[in-house]
Amino acid sequence: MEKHTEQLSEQVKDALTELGNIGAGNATTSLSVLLSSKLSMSAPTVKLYDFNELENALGGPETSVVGVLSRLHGSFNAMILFVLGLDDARHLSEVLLGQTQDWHSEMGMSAIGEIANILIGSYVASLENLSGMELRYSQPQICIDMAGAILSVPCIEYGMVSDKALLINSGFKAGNQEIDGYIMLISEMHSFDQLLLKLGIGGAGVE
Amino acid sequence: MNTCMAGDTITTIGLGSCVGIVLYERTKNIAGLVHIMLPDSTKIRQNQNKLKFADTGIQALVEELEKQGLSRKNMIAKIAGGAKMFQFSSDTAMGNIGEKNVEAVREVLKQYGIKIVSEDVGLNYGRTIVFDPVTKDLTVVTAGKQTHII
Repeated sequence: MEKHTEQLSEQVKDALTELGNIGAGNATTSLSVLLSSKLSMSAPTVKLYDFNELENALGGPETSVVGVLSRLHGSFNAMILFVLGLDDARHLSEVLLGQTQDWHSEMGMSAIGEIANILIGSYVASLENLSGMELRYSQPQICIDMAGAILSVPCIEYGMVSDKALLINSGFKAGNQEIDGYIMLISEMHSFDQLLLKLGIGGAGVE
Repeated sequence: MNTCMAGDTITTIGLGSCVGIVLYERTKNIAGLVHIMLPDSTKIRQNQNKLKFADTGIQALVEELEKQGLSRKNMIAKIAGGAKMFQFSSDTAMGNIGEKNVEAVREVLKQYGIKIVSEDVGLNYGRTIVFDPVTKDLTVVTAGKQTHII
């Protein structure tokens, strides 16, 4: 797996890590305000995946997760995927709605969807500020399923142009709430090249 | 793509909008499976990976099974997958790719004269499939739903 990461220059990797840091940092700040809880964020990982490896990015293709997906359009085409484990989704719903609501209910799901909407909105705003590009994003859609099935969505979309997807994955943890989650920015290399050029860094020089 | 003989099974995990195609013969204990992602290799510039597409993926599997002694005219198929994972109201130019994958698989199998004897396709959930070449059972496992055999 490492050989694919090596194809990204150190400079590009650093720039994308910083992008993930700022994007996910702002997103988790919004979440921390909503949950009145301190959130910690792990350093983002930046990796160029073969499609058949990407399904392992979330702890194995058969792991059940809650995924909320939004598509970015404009000068930069990408997907933002917010992911929670099932227990994490239950905890998040309990914090937001109290213990009485079943998180699988329409109410629970829409609460999680709304949280994701806010996170994705802050992530996109950071990308816009950093790059000066104008971006639009679709209404996020929620789905509970196997990680492999969820990650096949970006694979298929970017499978039209490439056999690899670039993923910036930021993990966060809500300290006293025991909620772990991920915010992922996924696209193919050519789109990231456009973004890197806007950030003043030459193309990634991959492929 | 993978093939297997009696005593072994073939699996593909977490099919979303992709489609898994199992080919076998009623009287032989050999089977093969290919997991395709996109409907048509001729519509795409980046098409070197033959197993990614319905047309070239099925062709590769048919040829591999012929090498292992199966005959195209006796082959039959079971298929699963092609879900729509996220319900975007205005989807991309690709439209409902799961549905298009299933249509393409049906069309390609028809061209080869291979009959689909059972299927579990479409809807909105992911599937893991396991095929046993002896019993010819295709077991479909889904997250949070009943496992069933087709």
